Amino acid sequence: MKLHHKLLSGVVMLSLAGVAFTACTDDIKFGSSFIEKAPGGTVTLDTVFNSAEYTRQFLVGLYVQQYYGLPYKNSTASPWSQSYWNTKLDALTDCYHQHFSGSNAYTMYYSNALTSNDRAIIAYNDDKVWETVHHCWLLIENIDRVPGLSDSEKKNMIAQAKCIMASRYFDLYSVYGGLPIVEHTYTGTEGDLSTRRATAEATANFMVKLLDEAIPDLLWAYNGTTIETDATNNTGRWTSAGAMALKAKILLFNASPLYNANQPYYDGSTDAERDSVVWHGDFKQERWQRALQACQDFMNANDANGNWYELNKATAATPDAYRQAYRMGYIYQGSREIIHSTRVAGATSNKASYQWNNFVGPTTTETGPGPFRHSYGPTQEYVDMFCWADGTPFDWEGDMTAGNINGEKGKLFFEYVKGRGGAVQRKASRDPRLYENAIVNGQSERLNWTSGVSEGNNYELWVGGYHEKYQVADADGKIVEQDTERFPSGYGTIKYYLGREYQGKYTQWVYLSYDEMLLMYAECLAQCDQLNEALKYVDEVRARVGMKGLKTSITKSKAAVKPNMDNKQDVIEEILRERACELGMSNNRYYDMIRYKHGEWMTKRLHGLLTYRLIQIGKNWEHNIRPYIGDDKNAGVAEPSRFEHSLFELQNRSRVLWDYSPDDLEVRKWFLFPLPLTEINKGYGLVQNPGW
Amino acid sequence: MLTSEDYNYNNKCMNKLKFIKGKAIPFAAILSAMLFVPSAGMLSAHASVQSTQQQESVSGTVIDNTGEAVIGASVVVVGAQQTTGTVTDYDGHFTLNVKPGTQLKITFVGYKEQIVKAANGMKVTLEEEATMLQAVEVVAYGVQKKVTVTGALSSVKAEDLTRTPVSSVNNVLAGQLSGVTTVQTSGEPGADAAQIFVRGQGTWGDSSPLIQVDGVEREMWDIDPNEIESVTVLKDASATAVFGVRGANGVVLITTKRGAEGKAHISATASFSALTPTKMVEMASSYDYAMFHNAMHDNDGTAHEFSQTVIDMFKNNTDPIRFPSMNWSDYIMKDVTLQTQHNVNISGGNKTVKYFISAGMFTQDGIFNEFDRPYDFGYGYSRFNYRSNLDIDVTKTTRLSFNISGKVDNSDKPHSGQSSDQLVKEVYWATPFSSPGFVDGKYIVNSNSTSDNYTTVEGDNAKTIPVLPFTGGTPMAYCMSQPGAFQYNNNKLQMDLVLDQNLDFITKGLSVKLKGSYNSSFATATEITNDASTYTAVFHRGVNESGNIYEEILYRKAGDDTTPTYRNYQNGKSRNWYTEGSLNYSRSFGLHTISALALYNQSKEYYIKGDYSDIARTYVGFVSRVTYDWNNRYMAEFNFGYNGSENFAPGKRFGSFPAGSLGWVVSDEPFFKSVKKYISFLKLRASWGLVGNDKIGGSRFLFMSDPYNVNQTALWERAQYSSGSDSGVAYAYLFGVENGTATKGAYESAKNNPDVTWEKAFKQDYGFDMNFFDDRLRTTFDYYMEHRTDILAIDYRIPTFIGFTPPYSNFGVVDSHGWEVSVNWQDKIGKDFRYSVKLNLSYNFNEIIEDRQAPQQNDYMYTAGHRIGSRLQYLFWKLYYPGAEADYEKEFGSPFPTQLVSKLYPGDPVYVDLDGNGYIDPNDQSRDFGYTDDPQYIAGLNLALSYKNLSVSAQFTGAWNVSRVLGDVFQRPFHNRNTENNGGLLQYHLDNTWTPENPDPNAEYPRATWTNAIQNYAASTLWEKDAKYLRLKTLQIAYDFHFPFMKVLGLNQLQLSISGYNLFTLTPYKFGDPEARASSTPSYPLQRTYTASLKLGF
Repeated sequence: MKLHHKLLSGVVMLSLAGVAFTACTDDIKFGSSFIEKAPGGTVTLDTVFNSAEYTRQFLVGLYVQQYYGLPYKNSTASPWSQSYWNTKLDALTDCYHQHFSGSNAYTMYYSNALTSNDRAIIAYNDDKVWETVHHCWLLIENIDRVPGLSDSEKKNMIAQAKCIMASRYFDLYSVYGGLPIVEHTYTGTEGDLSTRRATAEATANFMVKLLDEAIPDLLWAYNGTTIETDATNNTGRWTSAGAMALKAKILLFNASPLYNANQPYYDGSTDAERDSVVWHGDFKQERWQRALQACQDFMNANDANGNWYELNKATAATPDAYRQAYRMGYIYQGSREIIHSTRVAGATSNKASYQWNNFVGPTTTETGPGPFRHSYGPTQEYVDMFCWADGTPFDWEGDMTAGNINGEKGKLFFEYVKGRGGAVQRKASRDPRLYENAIVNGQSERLNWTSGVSEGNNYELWVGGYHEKYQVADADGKIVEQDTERFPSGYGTIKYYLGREYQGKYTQWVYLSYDEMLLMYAECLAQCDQLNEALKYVDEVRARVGMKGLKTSITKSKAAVKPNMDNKQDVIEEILRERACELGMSNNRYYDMIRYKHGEWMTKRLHGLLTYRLIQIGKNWEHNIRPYIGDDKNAGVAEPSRFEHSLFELQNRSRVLWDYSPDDLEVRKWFLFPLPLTEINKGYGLVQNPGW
Repeated sequence: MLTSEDYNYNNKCMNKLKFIKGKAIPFAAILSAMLFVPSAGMLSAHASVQSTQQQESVSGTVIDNTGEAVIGASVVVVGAQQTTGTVTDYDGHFTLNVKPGTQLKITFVGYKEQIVKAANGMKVTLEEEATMLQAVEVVAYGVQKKVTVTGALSSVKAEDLTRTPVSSVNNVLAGQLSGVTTVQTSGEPGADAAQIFVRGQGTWGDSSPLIQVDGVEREMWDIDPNEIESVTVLKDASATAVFGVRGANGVVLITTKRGAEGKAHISATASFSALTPTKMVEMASSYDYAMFHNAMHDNDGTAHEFSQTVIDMFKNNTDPIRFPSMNWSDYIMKDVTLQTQHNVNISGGNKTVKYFISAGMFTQDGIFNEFDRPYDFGYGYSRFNYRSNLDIDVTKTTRLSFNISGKVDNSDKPHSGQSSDQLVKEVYWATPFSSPGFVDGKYIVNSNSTSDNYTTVEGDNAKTIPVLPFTGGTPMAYCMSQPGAFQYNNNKLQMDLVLDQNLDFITKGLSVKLKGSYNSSFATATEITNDASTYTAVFHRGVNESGNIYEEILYRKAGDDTTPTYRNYQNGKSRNWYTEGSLNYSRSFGLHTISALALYNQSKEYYIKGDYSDIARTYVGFVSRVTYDWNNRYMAEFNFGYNGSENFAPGKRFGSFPAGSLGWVVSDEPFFKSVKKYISFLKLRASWGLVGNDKIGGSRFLFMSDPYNVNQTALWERAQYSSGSDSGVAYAYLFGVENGTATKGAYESAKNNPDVTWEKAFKQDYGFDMNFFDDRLRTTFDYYMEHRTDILAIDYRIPTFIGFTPPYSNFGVVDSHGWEVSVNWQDKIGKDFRYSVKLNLSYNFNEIIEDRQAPQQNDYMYTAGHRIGSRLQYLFWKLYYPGAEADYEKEFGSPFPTQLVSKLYPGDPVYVDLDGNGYIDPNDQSRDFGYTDDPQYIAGLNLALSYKNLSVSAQFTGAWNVSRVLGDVFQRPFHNRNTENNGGLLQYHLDNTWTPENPDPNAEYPRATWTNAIQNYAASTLWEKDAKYLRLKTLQIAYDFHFPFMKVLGLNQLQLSISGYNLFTLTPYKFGDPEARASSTPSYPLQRTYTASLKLGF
């Protein structure tokens, strides 16, 4: 009885405990079966490549990993090139000077402090290049077994993957030289993974081979009428035009003096030079011929395809219309000037995480608050590259003497004509592309997206102006430097930023474009001594913005020293200048600098513009450091029309290399970036670039 | 049954007062009513000697106070010529041929000796002796007699934890327990719990110990310390092997109080504390800032930014609005905040029901000024804890225990999204002239715009009006940039039900125990947002009607003050349960005692944070233990854990973790008798065993096939990076022309390894316990060694071109060893003066043996061969001076190396060319120098003395062989988030920087510079600062009153005490608290606390 009682109470308690503590669980399990199974429905390699839909998605995933040339992310994770703590290649050229002191432009590059322990702008290890290559091979190796895909679709998908792989290889090749060639996926358990860097030429050939294999399987353009071939749904995919243009760009790079020369760019003592991974070991004119051929092939193919790719032409011969034509040529996703674009975001908005726009200029007002993490101030040197509106070269000294800059007839950016009642009319006086590559004093805040007409307030970039309120003064109070992060050089970034008219518009970065193609063609022709033919294509690019031909314009110039358009070197330098004006913010200025070993672009001191608004007091014109927007404008005072300009040297963020000779090895090592030391230390055969 | 929903009330009424009145008190009352035992009267617990008629032979039984037979007790006749006596048998019976009435002495180890008159059928109840021999220790899944414990463990009792009120018991553990390291890095209310390590770090993975409260894995930081009976730390393999894959980092066992048979005892404590932040680092004034800034430009040969007119403005303080000199930490931090802790607990019971019921309230004000906002956001914290522990003897052999406990807490934070650490950092980043703060209720910001500081008036261009060169930052963002608050509310409910069934009817000494626990929590939050206006100071000069020039400050308003809006949302939940079933056997056969345990447990946790949140985390374990001792003299123990973790592939989930230990009480040996006068006790211990750790890092389910993600719809820009990994990266793409429909993407998200397994730690421990002078001096010493293998690591030697991060594998090896000693002296002088001194000291050494780091140029750069957390840094030699080259060559025998910059100036640091290649580059950075963030030595000193009713106790803790690295603004003048030239400046920089005027070769800071920054601010031993400290952690002075009226009230204790926490610290470290991190992440200041407490006992 007693025993029974004890047992009973035990059982009762047990069941109570059981009910209390298992009520919330589905069933009672013990031991190994209690441990949950691994998550069900897990997606693996087999899942993806057993489904046409997932395989297509996997291809989309490769597109995501393409290079995007505008940093916009607040992240230091891979891909490093997209972080605004990094910087843009353009900031290392003579065209732009980065003023955001938190960026690596300042801490690593201008201070000449980069080492092989740091990540370069396009990071060898941390830009997802090798991940992309691995993923491309995953697709290529596994696509055969995917059910529900036609052979032609498979071929087309492989071709797209190969283009992406070639483009990612090019992203590294253009700043590092020869690379290890990856021709299949790895497991990581291979054991010996010894792989040397391929020579620069072999690396170029590897990319070209991939593209050559891809070209026959791709469409020339997505201009069809079906949902698989139309522009609305497919623009942005690789085309045979893209593949051919990239091939031309690779071969152009391959033929350029950096690699294709009788002398290596460094001192010839390094392993990298001996291994021909950072130059070819000799100069061969055939390399230029080969690049020229690739350009011609592109042009012929475009011709055969009804010249689908073309320059976006102006609808009227006005400065605004030229600007609009140039702008829509690169910014509008449907532009037929774009051969290949990459995308990372949707439409811009002030809440988006696409912070390229938000951090170039604030979206609600033009002055603040920042942070202006993309304060790539266009330099005076860059602005001076832009001709007068008719095409006549600009020349600070000559034009200053001629009274074109300061004084009553000063028309540095705009000609001001006093109309009835004191109203002022403005007419842009320079190459229309200037206003699309640098915000200059007096320029309207907006160019209407649809109508292409200037509107809104003017940018006031004079000392004390509405947009340029901050300056650096010396101990005596004399202003020596502009200091806003937004307009640090007296100019502001506008390419890919535009103005508030860009709000709500779809974003992209142009990877390859038709205007670049024309200028590459011109360069190859010039390198192959066909100077007149070359100028034809340069002039085609200039004509789009209403400028006269190069030869004619130079003849008109009153400059003391003028380039000779019958001289091969002079023509090439003019093409490079034209590329800078046409292809702002595209990395091309950086590529040109290293391709042509232009150390002097790194060592020359750069300048900004100091502008004063002048008011007439009695007979004198005096500085007026008040803004116009606000008080004066509200009071009905006429728009400021007279300014005084002077130059200042960028000091706040000066570059250490400015004190060096262009031939100094410390400068020349910069023609290629350092490979990461950690990677070299792995000892599988990677050799360091010279000087690092 | 109550559910978490019952506690879920509207956040808007989460006013503290309302909360207590409206919810907590009724709840506590109901709870008490449910569980309270009506009659708490005392029942006689002692059976006494029962005499019967006189006989020649007497037989009787010896039992203990639980009614159990005492086996092997000796029964001898007192005063007999020869020793006449016997021992009790298995049932506690004895028979002795003596006359009834004879004096018998009954003794047994661990019990008080008794002299009784012999009587037939007598029943003798031995009382347990209150000595160490009888004391028990909490061990894994049970308790053990202290004398027979052979593993390494240390424990601390409640009274040592509650001397001064702290929110978290974590914070007073260091120095109390040998072998325990704590690092308290933040003083943020409700988030100030110290990190705990047991015997240092044995792995670079997760090295935090397993924490159990009443035998179930639970958090300890939010328990009311008044509820705690004891804290025990299990350190060696013998003590922790039964936890299998969970025990390698040590185990902390917390036991809560339980009722004992007796009159209801009510204890109430109330304490009020004043908290002041331990020192913030002082910042420079505006004038000093400007002068130092200009001097730094002079060093670099660049133009001054502060003009003389601006400097004069600072100097003369003529315009405190546009040229203020703010002491921001004073401005935004309160000098003193209030903390209260109240607890009422009732315990007692009768023969069948015992109870402990406790309710506690803890509040701590936030330190940050709230500037009269109508809501709280200054990091305030309040917590209500409740607990009811109930033991019911349902039958004579069945005990049911039921615990219910929980907490409700509230905390608030600014809406800015900044952590408190970030907020503190903003104080250091700020300039003293960025804003004058609030002036006449307006928040003013300064402007350096020329147009806001009109310098000219027509016709009067001569005067130069000073304008700030830049304004820099303010730390006011927490209340001005995104005004508002987050107010959090957490409810936690925990229950245990334990059934203990004595199975003596099957075989004596056998019992079965079943246990079930359920824990849940539910969190809600309120987001409060509003807008606040700011005003920009605009300097204006104008000409009035009479033609005179006047100057005035105007304000440009931005934004509007709006009324706050509120949004409530659920902010998290958790639920887990644990069940356990065990068989216990414990019995003595003569002098042999055997015990055995077999236990099965399983647990399940839902809503896991991070990966696979929908899949519950589960554990199962099988535990067995056998202990043997002979006469408490020779001990042997064998422990075995067999358990599994879901982290590993099926078939590889379960592991066996054996451990064994031996103990020998040498002092019980006959040969020891001669020295027993001095050495009253000596026990030698040794243990060996294998323990695991499944908290290895990486994601869960690392063993599965390489995971792919498909149907990704988010664009790349939306990718949420988490520290370098791309978990959750978006892979959709927008093709087309102005087409907003993203094309879905797929990708390979990681590479996995089917062979991953847990970390294994082979541990050895050798120790002794030795007491001297009649146990007045007690010492314990342990030496341990650990060999940790299979630590999860990535093989970074594989080339990057393979295109993926190699999967985790169990490559890593860490060796560690150390020793612990504790010395405890306890004595009294005269009748009324008692005192005790307890000292403990721990040393821990560890070294990474293997971690597959990427290849380095030099051996000294590898983490392997160094302590976990070793620092890669240049070796600082001296500050440069002309002629340093020759001295360097003399000292090192190699030419002066080219430094990181091309030109050194006097006062720049010189680094040593470790690899001797003639130049300094990152390959000269070494891990050979200095210490790490966690100390090698930790010491604790506890002093207590009492004289009559007065008692004083003090706890000192100290640590050495520990360092901190200065970073951020502590290292570089004028650093802030974005720039190196517009940030904050420490007073310390002013006082301790090498300058041409004060070229001190031993200056703490090198010459200030921007152009040589990569040299002067490179990571080097120059920036590593000794952070050893000795701190008076707690001090209590208490007085017990004995007033006559107390008897009337039934009051048997009335104690008034004053106490302090973190009262003073001796340290060479100048940059705030040595425990806090003064590198790039300074934190919420640790608090110094002054408390007055009242304790009542009924």
